[in-house]
Amino acid sequence: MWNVSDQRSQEYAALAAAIPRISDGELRSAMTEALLSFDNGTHQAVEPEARGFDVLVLAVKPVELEACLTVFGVDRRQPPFVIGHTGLCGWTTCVNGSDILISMVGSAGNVQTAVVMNELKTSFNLRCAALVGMAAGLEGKVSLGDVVVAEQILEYEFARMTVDGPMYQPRPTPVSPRYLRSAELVSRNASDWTAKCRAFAIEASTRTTEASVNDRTLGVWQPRVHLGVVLAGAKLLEDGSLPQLQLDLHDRVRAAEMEGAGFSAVCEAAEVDWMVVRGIADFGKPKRAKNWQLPSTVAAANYVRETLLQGLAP
Amino acid sequence: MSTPPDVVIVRLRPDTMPNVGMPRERARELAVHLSGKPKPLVDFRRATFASEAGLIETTQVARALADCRIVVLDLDFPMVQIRRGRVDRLLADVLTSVAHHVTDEHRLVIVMTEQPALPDDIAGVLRGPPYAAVSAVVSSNSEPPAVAATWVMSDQAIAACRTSSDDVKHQFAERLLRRRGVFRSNVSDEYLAYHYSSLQGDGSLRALIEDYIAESPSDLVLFDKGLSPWLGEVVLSAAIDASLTAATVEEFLGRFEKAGDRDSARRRKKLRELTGDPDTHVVVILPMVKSGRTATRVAGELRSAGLRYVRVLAIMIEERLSRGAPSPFHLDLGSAVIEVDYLVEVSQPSLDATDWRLEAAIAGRYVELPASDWTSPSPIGMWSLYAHVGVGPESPLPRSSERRAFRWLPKLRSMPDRDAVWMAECLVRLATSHLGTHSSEMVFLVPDEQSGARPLASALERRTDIAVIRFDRNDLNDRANDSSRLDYLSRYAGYRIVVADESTVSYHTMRQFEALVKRALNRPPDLGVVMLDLGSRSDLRPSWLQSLHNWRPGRVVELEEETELGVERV
Repeated sequence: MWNVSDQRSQEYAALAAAIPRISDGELRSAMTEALLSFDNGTHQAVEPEARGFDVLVLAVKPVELEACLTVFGVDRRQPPFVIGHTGLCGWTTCVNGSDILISMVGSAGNVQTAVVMNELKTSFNLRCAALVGMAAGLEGKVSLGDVVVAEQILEYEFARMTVDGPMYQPRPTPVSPRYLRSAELVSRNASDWTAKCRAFAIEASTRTTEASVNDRTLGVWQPRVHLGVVLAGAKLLEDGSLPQLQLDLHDRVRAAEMEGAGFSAVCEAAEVDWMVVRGIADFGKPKRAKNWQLPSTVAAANYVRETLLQGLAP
Repeated sequence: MSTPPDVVIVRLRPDTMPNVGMPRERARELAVHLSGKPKPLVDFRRATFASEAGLIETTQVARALADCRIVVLDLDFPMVQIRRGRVDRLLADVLTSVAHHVTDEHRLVIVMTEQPALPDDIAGVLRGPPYAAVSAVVSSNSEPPAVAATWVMSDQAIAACRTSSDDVKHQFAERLLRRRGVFRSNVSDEYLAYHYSSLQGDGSLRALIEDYIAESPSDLVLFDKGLSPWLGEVVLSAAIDASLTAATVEEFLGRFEKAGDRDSARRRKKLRELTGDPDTHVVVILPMVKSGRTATRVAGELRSAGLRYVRVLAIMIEERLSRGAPSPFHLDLGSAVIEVDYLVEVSQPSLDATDWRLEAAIAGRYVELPASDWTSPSPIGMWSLYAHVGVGPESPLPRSSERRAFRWLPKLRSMPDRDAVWMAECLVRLATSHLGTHSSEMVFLVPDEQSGARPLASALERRTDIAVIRFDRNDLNDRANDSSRLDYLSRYAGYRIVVADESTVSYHTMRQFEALVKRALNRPPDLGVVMLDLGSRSDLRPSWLQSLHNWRPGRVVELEEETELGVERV
């Protein structure tokens, strides 16, 4: 992307790599401002010249970002560029002729995701956006490490609270059918689907300490792809209530997460095609383990990559 | 009418060296032994005579001689300062000017780091009358203290003159240099957030090692350089002085760097002889005990070789390991318990792969290897410091400023002492590399303020190899004090003048110092060094200014906005 040759470029690269990891908001803002000061006509590589992308791949948490960067073949040493003044960072790559932008929200939540998505939409022309990450899955219908492609996002927490209990008034946002018709064929069409998922998961594991993945921990993992309704709310489910929510809300519910509603709302408003692809990391039960977060997100990201390779997305 | 004190201890020093001389407790101990009275009854007066204008007020030294028969002249600062000439001449002048107050009844104890040599001016004065007849010159830095005296001084009094091990340990801990950054360990796969080393020119570590070796019988010194290449030279010189064999842990474990080297072969033979004798007393010196693995391995090897007398000294110990336990610390490793003496507790965290510092260092190629020849701090180190002290709106604005406050600036006033030592070292190295002269040839002019923390200025003053002069920042334009300041500065005509500050925005202070130095010495300062150069006006920027880190603060804020956020109104 650029040649890290002189001291300014070195420090620029260092700042750009550090900013996504900084949790202190004040420090992150200061570093972003310092980084932007490098762009005083001397550093031409602050942002790519082309301000349009075929696909935005949006992750939420660092472990999901690592999975996406690995699957899309982005060298982690490649420094990101900074978007706007919010400390948001982006990495670029190209798959099957499609220009890809990869970015990260940084924290969970529909509102947070909507804010970031709005910033990205304002900064770039996007043809399609994919929210890629992990989710809680409905036990019995999906397995750990499987992929759920949302056919509909159900913002499920809208409710009227009555003496008889909550009267749910969920708000659905359906996905464009053209991304769904062949969804379940993507993994079958990919000749090395399972092998790729396993290899990517092991590689991603070497780039983060948040997960330790190897052939033994993956066992006989063969990720399957499911279409289904994805619930999006503000609750992190750890009480095993997902089966009850399925009964109450929609029989096609397969997963629950916390960002899809904000993401899809901005995409719909901005007329950007979108998809939400989730890897199943747990079943939303007490004492949920985290060892499937990285592999399941890798599988979700690999699904998006395969749709691009197979020409099923722009 | 007040009775005269039993003992007067006069600390003579120029005010550019505030951190020299014996501490109060040792002074009291000395007074007890010189007066022969018990501690609660001894009446001693301790005074420091130094002033900006006259360096040392000779009249007050004379008054001490008039008041009291037993007078201690505390000249206990590094001999290198005396040998530089200025201090030597100064002290000799003081002693000459008060000589007519000295009578045969006086007993003068002159405490110096070491005995003055003949070329020193002060040596000539002390060998002549009246001092030769009544003075005892005691070297505080030798064991036992060397004495040149014409009267009998008690052993206890002589011993009390010696710099205590605790004093030296405190000095070493205070001056220990901790650099921030990302450092690749050469003994493990870890990345470390700090690198520790002994400050250049600080002899306290060598003194501590010499003391430790001398504490009990020693035949062989094994040391591990590990992350600390600076340690080898110190240990080797201490071992050579004690006529002991010294070898690295690697050599002991049989991994000689050059197997065919004749010198190595001789040392290997000697090492084999010593380690083959179970009565050999071995001292193991490790730069850092972090997990205890190296200590265990070396101690285990020595024990399995049948050696019975093994002592382990760690220069530093990881504070999470010792948990505040005093030295010696018993390192319980399950299979064995090792007794480890240590000098300083430090924190040495390893960086995990997701730490922003490591990410940044890899991306910007700022990973450093342990070395002593570094020249400047890495941006990662600087950002790590900013993360520690915090960033926020600039507050308060300098009194003379008419601009608006910057939105983001590091809060350098809350810089910890340990970081201030590092920053001071960085500024000294910056000055040394630009001027091409040794730091002892420089004098640092530092702005002083009545309020607020002054960690950088204090850290510069703690060093013994440079002279530091503070001037009140808000008083630099006051011509009323000009004559004394100009007179004072004119004494440093032969020195390289370096102006040092934490940061500069408008270059106002730098220009004020420039004017002051020009009035005193008829030339501009040789160099200005700052941590951060925040200025944007290249036309105002002095050509002689250098900075450690470039930071271009972009946004400014209205003060009202910050007041709402709880920031103090300027």
